[in-house]
Amino acid sequence: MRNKALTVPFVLWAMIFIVVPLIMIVWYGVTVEETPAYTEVVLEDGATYFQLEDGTLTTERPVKRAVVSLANFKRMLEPTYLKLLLRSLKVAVITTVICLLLGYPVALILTGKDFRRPALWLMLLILPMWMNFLLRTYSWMSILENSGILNSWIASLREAFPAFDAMLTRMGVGKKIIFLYNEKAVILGMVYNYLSFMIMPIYTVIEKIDRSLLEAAADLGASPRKSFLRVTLPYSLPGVLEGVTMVFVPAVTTFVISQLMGGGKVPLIGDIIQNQFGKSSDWHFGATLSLLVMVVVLAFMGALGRMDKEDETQKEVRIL
Amino acid sequence: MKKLRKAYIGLIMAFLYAPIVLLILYSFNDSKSRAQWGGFTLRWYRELFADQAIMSALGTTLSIGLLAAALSTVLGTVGAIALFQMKRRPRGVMMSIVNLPMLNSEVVTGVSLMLLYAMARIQLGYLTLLLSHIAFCVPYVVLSVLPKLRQLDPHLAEAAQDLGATPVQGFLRVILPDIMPGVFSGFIMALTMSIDDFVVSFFTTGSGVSNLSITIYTMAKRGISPKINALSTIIFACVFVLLIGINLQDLRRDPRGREKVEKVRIPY
Amino acid sequence: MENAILSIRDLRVVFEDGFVALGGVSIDIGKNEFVTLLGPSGCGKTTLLRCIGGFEKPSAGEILYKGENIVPLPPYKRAINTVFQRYALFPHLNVAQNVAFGPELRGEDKKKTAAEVTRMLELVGLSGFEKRKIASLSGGQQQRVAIARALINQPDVLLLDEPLAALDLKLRREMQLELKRIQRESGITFIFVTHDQEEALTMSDRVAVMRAGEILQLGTPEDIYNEPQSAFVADFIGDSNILAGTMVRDRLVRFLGCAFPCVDSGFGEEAEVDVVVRPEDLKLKPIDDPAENVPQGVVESLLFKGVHYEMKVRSGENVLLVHSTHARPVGTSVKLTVAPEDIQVMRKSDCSPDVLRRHAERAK
Repeated sequence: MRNKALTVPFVLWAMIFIVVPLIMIVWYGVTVEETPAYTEVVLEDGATYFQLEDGTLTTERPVKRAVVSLANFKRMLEPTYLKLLLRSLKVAVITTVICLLLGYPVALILTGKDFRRPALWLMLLILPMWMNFLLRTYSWMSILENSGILNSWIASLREAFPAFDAMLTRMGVGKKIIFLYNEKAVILGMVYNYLSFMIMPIYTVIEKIDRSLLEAAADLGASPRKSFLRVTLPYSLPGVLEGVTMVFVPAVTTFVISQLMGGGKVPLIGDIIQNQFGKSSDWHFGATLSLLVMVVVLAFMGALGRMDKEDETQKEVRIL
Repeated sequence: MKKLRKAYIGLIMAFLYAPIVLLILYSFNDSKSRAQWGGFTLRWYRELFADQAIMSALGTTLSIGLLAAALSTVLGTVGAIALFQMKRRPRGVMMSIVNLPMLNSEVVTGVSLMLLYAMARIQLGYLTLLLSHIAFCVPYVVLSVLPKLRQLDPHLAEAAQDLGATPVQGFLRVILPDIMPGVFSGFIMALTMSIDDFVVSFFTTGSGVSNLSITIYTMAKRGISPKINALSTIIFACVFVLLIGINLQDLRRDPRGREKVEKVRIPY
Repeated sequence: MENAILSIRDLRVVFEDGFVALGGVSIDIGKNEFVTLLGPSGCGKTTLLRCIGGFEKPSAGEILYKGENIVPLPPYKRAINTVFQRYALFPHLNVAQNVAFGPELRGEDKKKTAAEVTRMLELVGLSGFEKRKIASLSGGQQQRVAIARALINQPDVLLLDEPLAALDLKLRREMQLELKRIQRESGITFIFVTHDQEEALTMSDRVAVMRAGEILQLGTPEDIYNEPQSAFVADFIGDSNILAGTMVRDRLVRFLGCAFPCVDSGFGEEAEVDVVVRPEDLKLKPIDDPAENVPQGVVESLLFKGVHYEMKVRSGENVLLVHSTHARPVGTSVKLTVAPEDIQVMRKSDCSPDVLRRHAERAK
């Protein structure tokens, strides 16, 4: 006897808003819209009939309908799209690596035993994440754009110090430096937006490492370097995996950052998906690409071994 | 070494805050050429508040955020309890399903919900936006309530009933107060996720309903406007006050600031 | 039983996976009685308690409370309260609020409740703890709060599910006396679950020894200890020597290769039986003692246990446990005697092979 009053609505909700939508993606992904070929036939009595290829006659004009087809999968494998996928993967990997290299030391320093008020500092580090994602990206745009803050500062410096101006001119740097609209700008935008996703889980895990482990290591003669390699690093691995996932997944699928920081010059797979539901309006192909992204992400997580996180130890308990 | 470490943290802080600080500074800049400093002004704030599109988007963001957070907190708490009471097998299956939106990328979630509404022939608009936000917030609430349920004394509900409380009374008087921290942080997380969201909103809204993210996206694609600087400043101030307020008590309680990170309520 | 407050009739509980937790248990419990359900884990004692409390639905059978079947009633409609194993105190409420939980739910007068709370805390020895946080209390104090929280509802029956299991030995002894005192003073029927036989013997008016979903023996602590009716009960209650024997005829039993006069009868002639002799009832005599037709043995080990010495004496295939205030050095040859009234003869039961094997293993 379980409490159905709670379980039924929740399971129903999960079905409608999680399972059915995913089935929809699969359905759209494996179908295309097609209007069957037909010929118009006007008979002697003046009525118009439509003859399909198999010879059947109908009075209604055949309309578009979804037919199962792997055409979109073939299209997906065209070099144009494969290149986009590869670029998305490359950008996401670079972003993830940079975030890891920048973020791991932060987590390590904050959890160090001589660092005071780490929670406060962590909070301050995360605080920008509470601002709207678009505003965060926008802030870099306003700095880096051609007539942006950075360029105007450089211009002022050039006016103030002719030697500096001469040096830049000799180096072939134009009056306006183009910072935006390239892959580096996109990566910068991603690192800025996702860095905290890397710091948080690593911090959480290192924070939980039993300090007596480190003391024991030191007691047994391990140098700080060794006890880091032998204790902290292996114990922090789950946090690293979590952080890598949290950075990689949004990075590989974003289309906002690539459009704002890349100005449309660095299209990623996410941009193409967005296009299919906007300008190009080919939902079926968009769904096929979404499937591809889903598979890439799931494969990535499968590779990291993060699929099965159920707590097996929990007993069945009733609270209502 | 110690100085080096502090300097490193300082550097990262600078990287994270520099754009925001500049944004704030330039929101008070009275200059046609946006990059040049032309003296202090509140002009952009006045223009911001006069901008119908931004104001209505802000309203949408806040109302969707609060509604979605409240409803998904209820649904997520109910879900967490339902999951918690399930037998192991079905619980494992349901957990995987609930985890899916968090594993999946936002694009996939957005697209899949859009197709759902298309199938159900629901006109895209405020309702679909709200439903979608609830859809991606619920898993986070479930995830923040479940650990609290696991920490409960397994006989707590029985004890309440033993003392004469009906199951509902027992839940309201004993279970709910005990899991409240998890419910609360689930609410905050849902609120933040909703306010921050762009991708899912982009796919699931329509007929002129636009939230802040979408409005900024459209504006930013056209170019920079100092009005957005002003908006950023206001939002950052609100966030700053809110987050400090939420966490202040916890921080004050332990002067050394060595408390567990779980106590710092940060959505991620 | 005439003045039974609680009558359990043929109660069966079968879990969803087919496990029979209770296989038809019947017991009458009288007013103001202290009854203990004793048995190893998995014997069904907690399930029985949970059925009485209303937390487990029996598959069949009745629970009559003052003559009325309460099986269909949910826990919150039963005038029975429970002290849970880990106390299940409400962590967000303080001591007084925890104790006042029941009266408050019933909407009783606040002042009256406050006075009651004070009285209850006094009864359990926690005066002045009203405003304390639950988390700041020790295990024993939490235990007392849990008892006060249950007693304030003036139940006729209080169920206690291994309430002392989490306490250390000294505190447990203290609480045993305390519980007994509270039970006497309050006049409430206590149904107490434990797997600790010493605890059961110390506190109870009657003990029900359970195994595999059944009550094997129900009786006063003295009955259970002195006259166990099966090898299992004898083995579970205290140290004992359990030996395979043959009932030669009424009042004569053969074990350890010798015939002993005893007080039991009615088993028939040449019947296979189990024989229990408590270690303190086995007397060691010098090998030159005139006693005839008694088993002989050699002392194999000697341990000082404070009040007595514990010796292991090998006699042929068997090793016997002997408690005596008189030490015999290892290697001494002795004669073993038992008074007829100290020999307990029992019918073979389905678990006697098990028990006998375990006792025989002691010899290795």
